[in-house]
Amino acid sequence: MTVLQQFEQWLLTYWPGWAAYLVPPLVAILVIIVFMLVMVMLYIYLERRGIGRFQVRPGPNRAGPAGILQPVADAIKVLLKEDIVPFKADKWVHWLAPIVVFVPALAILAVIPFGAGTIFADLNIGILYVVAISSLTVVGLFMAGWGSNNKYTSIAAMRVVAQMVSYEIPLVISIVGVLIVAGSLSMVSIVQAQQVPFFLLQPLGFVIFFLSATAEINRSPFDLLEAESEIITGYHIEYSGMKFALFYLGEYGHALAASAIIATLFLGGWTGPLLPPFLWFLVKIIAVFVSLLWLRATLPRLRVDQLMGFAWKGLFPLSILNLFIIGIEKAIWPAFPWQLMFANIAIAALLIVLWSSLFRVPGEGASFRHYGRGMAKGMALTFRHLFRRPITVAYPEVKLTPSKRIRGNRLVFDLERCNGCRACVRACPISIIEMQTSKGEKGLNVDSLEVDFGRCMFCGLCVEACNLDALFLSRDYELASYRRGDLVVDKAQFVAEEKRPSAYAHEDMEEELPAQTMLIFRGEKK
Amino acid sequence: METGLTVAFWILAVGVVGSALAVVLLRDVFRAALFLVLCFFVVAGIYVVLSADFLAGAQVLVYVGAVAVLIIFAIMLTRDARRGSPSGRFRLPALLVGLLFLGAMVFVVLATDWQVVAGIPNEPTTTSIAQALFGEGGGYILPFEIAAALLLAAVIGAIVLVRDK
Repeated sequence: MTVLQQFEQWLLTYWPGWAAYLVPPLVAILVIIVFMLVMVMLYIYLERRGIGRFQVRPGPNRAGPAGILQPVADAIKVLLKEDIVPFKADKWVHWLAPIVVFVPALAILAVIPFGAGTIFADLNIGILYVVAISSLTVVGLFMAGWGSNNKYTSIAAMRVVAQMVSYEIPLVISIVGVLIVAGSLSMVSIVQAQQVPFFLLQPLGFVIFFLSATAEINRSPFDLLEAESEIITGYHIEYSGMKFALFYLGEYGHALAASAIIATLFLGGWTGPLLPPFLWFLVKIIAVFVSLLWLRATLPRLRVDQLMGFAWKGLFPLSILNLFIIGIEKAIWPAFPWQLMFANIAIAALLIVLWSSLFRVPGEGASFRHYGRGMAKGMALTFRHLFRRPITVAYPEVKLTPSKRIRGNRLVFDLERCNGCRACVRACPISIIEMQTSKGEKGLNVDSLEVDFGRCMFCGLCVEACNLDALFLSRDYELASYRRGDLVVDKAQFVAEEKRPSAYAHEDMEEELPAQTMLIFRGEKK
Repeated sequence: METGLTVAFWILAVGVVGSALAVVLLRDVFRAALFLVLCFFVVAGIYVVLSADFLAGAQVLVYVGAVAVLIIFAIMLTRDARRGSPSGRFRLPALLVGLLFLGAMVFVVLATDWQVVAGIPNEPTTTSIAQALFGEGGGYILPFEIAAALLLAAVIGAIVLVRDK
């Protein structure tokens, strides 16, 4: 008996039948929506910070402690935007599309088991329902592309159909391998059938399913329908405000659903030692999502023809082979003993190596070196990045020490040494230094001095012209003011301000200056 | 439970007829295709009401996921699809054929002696469908395999037709 039915039984003792019948599903729907929203927030946070770490930068860390409020800030920003519907768009279709994209993600979560009885609806046709419902998303994305009446969205719509229809085939065939062994379509029975998780028992099917699912939810490296460099952001160019938020939510909702399905089908769902079932499940779906992130951080986006080639020449034959192998094994050993795992892992490794050498690099012929080992090396590299210190610094708080000979954007006058020769004034190619002198006891006195830094181009000719070492460029690299007039600096300011001369044209000063901050991690080999 | 099912059935039935009418009557071809998707989906809902869960799943998977998407794709590749469907010279013949077909369907529905099941079938339908299709006695393995071979032939034929000479 599921938790939901227990809830209904309990309600029946207090409330009339129809209320006890209606209320539990409504509560469950609410719980699923809240779960999805919370998980999407977590995913957005993980994605933004995680991609940051994979790229050796800290990621967004300003909103709240460690940037934890970043998803909230994103959401508020998106919701405050004006809702725009393009002129000549098909308004109804444009309006409906985000909903059609978002709802399937929610509907899939209804059949995901979080524990032995913790499931909204344990359908007999569980996984068939999942596959059927997720095929609805194509229609939504297509509606968005067509309804926006924009050439880029139309291209994205074409790509959606080509990609999703192609990758659905290996996806479904790899599921069939699982079903043969589990002997049921129900999600709960599939989990209970996994004495050994299926990703060990059917590694090939797992890899195929993982890659096709990545393509189905349009995540990098298969995110061609929102390839910024080609078609801007694809189908949601013309969306803003709440509708864009729904797309965003739908995208992460589908990522959540896909990782939940992978966890259920191949990672043993809620089962596991020590931890309570729900936590195990959570850990598994987050692990799947993080590996999606890892892929995204490592692999470049595929070209359209490579994408289709990968589906039809790579995954499709592999998935059929996988189905054959699993079918034969099931026919010979109906109990499907766990020892088969070793054979299957070996077969999977062999087939993946063989298949990766089918794809050629133009002009080189060889291939496993690039598509097999090369990719593995790339993944290892981005993994190592996780443990490196971020190169990016939090700028206004942390400042980098510039080069010793930097041509900073300020001049430093040592007026005690200046004899008013006006060499700097003559050297300036754009005449921004003004100096008035009068005859004094020893020579010339500098009466007034004005430099317009708003026009200075930091060429350093004035510094080179000064033969008394009275003029330096500074080591500052910040120059900003609200009015141009504030950038004109006079004598009094030059005398008063802190002097931070650079060693430009004064190589003898280099010894005393602090060393430049090196952005490359010290411990790194060449 | 019984009243709930009846209410659900009537909502779905109105949905099916309404969306089917919209498919025929709408000028905008793309919207008509979308209503066709809705129609397929609601028909799946009717299957659910009839406790035919596997059939409902297959309906959504095949009709919404594949057939409807193919239709939409065809619309996308059609020139001037945005202008809607202009009235052609086949208007009257089409109406005639349509009426004839409708008449035939109505006649079939009325003339057939429908078997009514007394209770609600609750057992999982997947196994029984599999038994009926692939079971040892009176299965349909041969027609099934022939259908698969036919589809394969159609796919290869399509590739041969569009290939560069």
